[in-house]
Amino acid sequence: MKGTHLGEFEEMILLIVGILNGGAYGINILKEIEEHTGRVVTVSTVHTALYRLEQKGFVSSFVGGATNARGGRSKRFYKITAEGRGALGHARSIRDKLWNLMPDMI
Amino acid sequence: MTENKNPPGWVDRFLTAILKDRFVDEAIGDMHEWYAWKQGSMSGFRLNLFYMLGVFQAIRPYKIKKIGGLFLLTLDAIMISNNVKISLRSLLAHRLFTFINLLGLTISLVSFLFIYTYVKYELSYDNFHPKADHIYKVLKRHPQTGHLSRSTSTPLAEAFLLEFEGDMQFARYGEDPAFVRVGDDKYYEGNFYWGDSTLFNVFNMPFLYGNPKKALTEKNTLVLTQEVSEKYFGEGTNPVGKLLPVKLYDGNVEMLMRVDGVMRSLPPNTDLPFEIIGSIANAFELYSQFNDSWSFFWLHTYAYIPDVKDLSGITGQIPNLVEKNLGPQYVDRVSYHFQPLKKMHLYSAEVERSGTDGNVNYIITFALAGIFIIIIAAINYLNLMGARVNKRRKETNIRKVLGANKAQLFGQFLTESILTVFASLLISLVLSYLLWPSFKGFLGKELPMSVVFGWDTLVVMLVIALLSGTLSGLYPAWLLATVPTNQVVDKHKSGIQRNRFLKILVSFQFSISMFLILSTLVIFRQVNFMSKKHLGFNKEQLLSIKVEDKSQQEKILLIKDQMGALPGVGAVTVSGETLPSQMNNGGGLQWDGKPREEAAYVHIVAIDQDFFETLEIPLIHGKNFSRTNKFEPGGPIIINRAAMELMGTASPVNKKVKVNGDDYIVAGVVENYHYQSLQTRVLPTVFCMVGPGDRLSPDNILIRTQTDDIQASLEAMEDVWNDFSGNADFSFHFVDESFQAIYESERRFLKLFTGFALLSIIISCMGLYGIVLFTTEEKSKEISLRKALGSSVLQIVSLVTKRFLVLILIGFVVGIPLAVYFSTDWLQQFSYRITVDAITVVASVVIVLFISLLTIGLHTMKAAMVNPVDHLRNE
Repeated sequence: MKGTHLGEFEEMILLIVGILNGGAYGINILKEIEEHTGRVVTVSTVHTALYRLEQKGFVSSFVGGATNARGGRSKRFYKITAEGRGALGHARSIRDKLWNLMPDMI
Repeated sequence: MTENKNPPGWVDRFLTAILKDRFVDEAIGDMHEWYAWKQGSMSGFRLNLFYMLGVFQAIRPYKIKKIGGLFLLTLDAIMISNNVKISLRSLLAHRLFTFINLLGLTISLVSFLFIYTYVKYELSYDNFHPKADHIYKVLKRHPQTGHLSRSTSTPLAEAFLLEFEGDMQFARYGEDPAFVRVGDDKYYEGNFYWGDSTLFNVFNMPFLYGNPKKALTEKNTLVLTQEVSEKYFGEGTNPVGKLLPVKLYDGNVEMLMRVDGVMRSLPPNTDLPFEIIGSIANAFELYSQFNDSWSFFWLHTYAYIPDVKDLSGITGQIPNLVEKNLGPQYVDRVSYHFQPLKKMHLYSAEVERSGTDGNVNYIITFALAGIFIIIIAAINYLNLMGARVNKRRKETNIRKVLGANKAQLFGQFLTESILTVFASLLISLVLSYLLWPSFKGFLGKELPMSVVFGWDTLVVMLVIALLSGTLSGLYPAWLLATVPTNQVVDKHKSGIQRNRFLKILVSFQFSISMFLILSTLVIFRQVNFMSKKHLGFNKEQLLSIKVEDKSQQEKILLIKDQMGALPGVGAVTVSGETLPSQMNNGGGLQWDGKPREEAAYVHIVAIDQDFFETLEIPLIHGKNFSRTNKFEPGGPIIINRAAMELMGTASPVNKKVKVNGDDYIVAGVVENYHYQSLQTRVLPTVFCMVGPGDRLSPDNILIRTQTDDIQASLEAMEDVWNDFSGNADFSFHFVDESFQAIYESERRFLKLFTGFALLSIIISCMGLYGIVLFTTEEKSKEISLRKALGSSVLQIVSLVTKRFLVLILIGFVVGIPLAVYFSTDWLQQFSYRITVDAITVVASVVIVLFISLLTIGLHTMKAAMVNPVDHLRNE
């Protein structure tokens, strides 16, 4: 399996996909990012990240319903996979380990 | 949230077209949702900007369909062969239609090919010299009038070399017709030139024999072209070192000249005229009195200046050079202009006796005409294809219903279109090959075949054919392929909005045709005007004999008297200028005590007392010369009306004036007459009686014949001539013929313009015919119904005609002002010209209307006369 490394942005997207619990698609991920981090990103940045995550096997996608606001186009929903959870846990454990090594001074 | 705006639809279509299915819905849907979400929080401009940015970012290489996916359908080999098959069937099924199409395309391709070749050839003049970019022709320029002349004087080149530092080299040549003697036979060589040895360095003239570096460096040496060498020494012989006896046309000494080299024949696209070049050292010895003369103009001077920066320095110093060499009073009157060699052929129309027949305005006109014709033909093709769309509807619908996608439909139409275009390309190449000789005759130029069928020509033709084929094939394909299938199946809804576009195209075609036809009429009228206009003298049966030989000129009055006594000769006179004439002599005229600096330039013509009577030029004031008058200070002169008007007096007779500083008395005034082309204004002219031996002395005999047997009179004249001639040729011309010949270039222009106009109207009418054909077919039921209900044939014809008439009239509205503007501009070059009047405009309108109504009417009549039952019973 090719690179399972998680970039910072990818990790955030993956987390949000997990939070939204099966209801994640481009726009609500975008809204979450704006809400929680204040970062403004473009739609296609999110798409690109999602596509990469899917290639790495961390998320799976399925086609869902269409609405008028979408010009009659269907949504593509994303769901976090077990591997995705594993990768998130791995990333978190590395970070925790590193935090523990940080000396307690300012 | 108010949903008041949607993102642009074409973006969606574009993305749909290029993105893989996996990404299309997600990208477009999310973008739309984002657009709706952000609508409240951003200004419309920012919103759209970010939207486009998002779209732009959405296009990633991995998201785009594979090239094969995009084009596979059109490139499928089986589909192509099927397309070809169907296309051939469809083309053959509509034979008349295909024929009109092919004919129109072929005509326009052939004319385009010819125009392209001609323009390319004219532009290629003297481009083959490797140093062409740095060679300049030195022209004499009058600083005030801007008058340019190609003839320069002997000391000019040396003065330049003395005055300026920097790298420059001069190459000069001057014409001097000569005879070459072989045994007892003499051969006339009209293109004999005296030339510098530097000619072979400056210009690219490769030698067959001999050394170009050493050629012409000595006196009594010659360089020949290959043809001349073969004429005198035979083919394949090296004549270098051999001697050739040469005698000048108006000289008396025979010179033995050594052949220094033989150059390869120059290509035909050159204005360098050489056949034989003699060492200029001979000329300097023969005409030594002019070696220091700044007022004897006989040389073509070319300068080779490798560095452009030097050129500006040199031109800036010209006034100093003139002041130093000619004197300060000449600074205002003499200057020099460095004309780039590459511009020489096309930009010399203003240069006196430039020796080139190129004219950049004609080239531009031809190029435009070529483009016009291609446009007309492409429109035609488009129109015919578009008109046929309705007939093809059923076929297209079936294909669609059976599952053909757009690409396949496009492929079908493209194949058909490209097949047609290539067929006509082939036909037109063959046709051009066959028509080439007559086109050359038409142009009066010896263009080599290789210019036409060079690689670049073929490539250009191929590109034009492909472009026009693709573009005009795409249009009907687009019309048919974009109509929703459910609409095209419905028989009563055409669902095709093609009319407006087609109408604009027809109008456009007719505006071009109108433009060309009106312009042709104006040109025709001007040429006609020029050849018919009374020139102020009687040019009929008037003969002019040139007396070149100096010794013979001494006896010109004797020859005149003897010729005047011949039977069949009505009147005879001598003159310093023939007719038509460039008026080579001139001087300053002063009157009313004007100072010398304010002298006006006038022509000076030497004549005798019989001049005005022979030419039938009326005397309006005063009296004619008498036999004893002489051109000497205090003597009488006669002026023309232009000179009288210049002096601003109504009674100039007996006034004292100064010509070139000397006093004369005005004896009489004659009416203006046109001594040259009507392009030139009649300038103030002074006539005087000059005896032999002067620079002005008469060297032409003008004879008015009054006989039916002109041949016998000519023989009698030649006998008289031979008594005086020594060995000079008896050369004469008829004045009326020569006046006609002046307008040769205008006539050629007219011929070509007529050709273009004819082509354009023919092609336009073919297109019109095609459209009428389909309109009547489409409306056959309507026509039949109307007829069954009692309409007359005339009513039906006018019904159909009316709609086309409007289009043609719109074409007029655009074409007429353009043509009036263009032709008025063209007429400016003639000092004596017609005006573009209402009659001309009306005449051209009538012509175009008549032809097009005929085209429309013929077929409409046929359609209207059909028995209504034929169309109605099928229902």
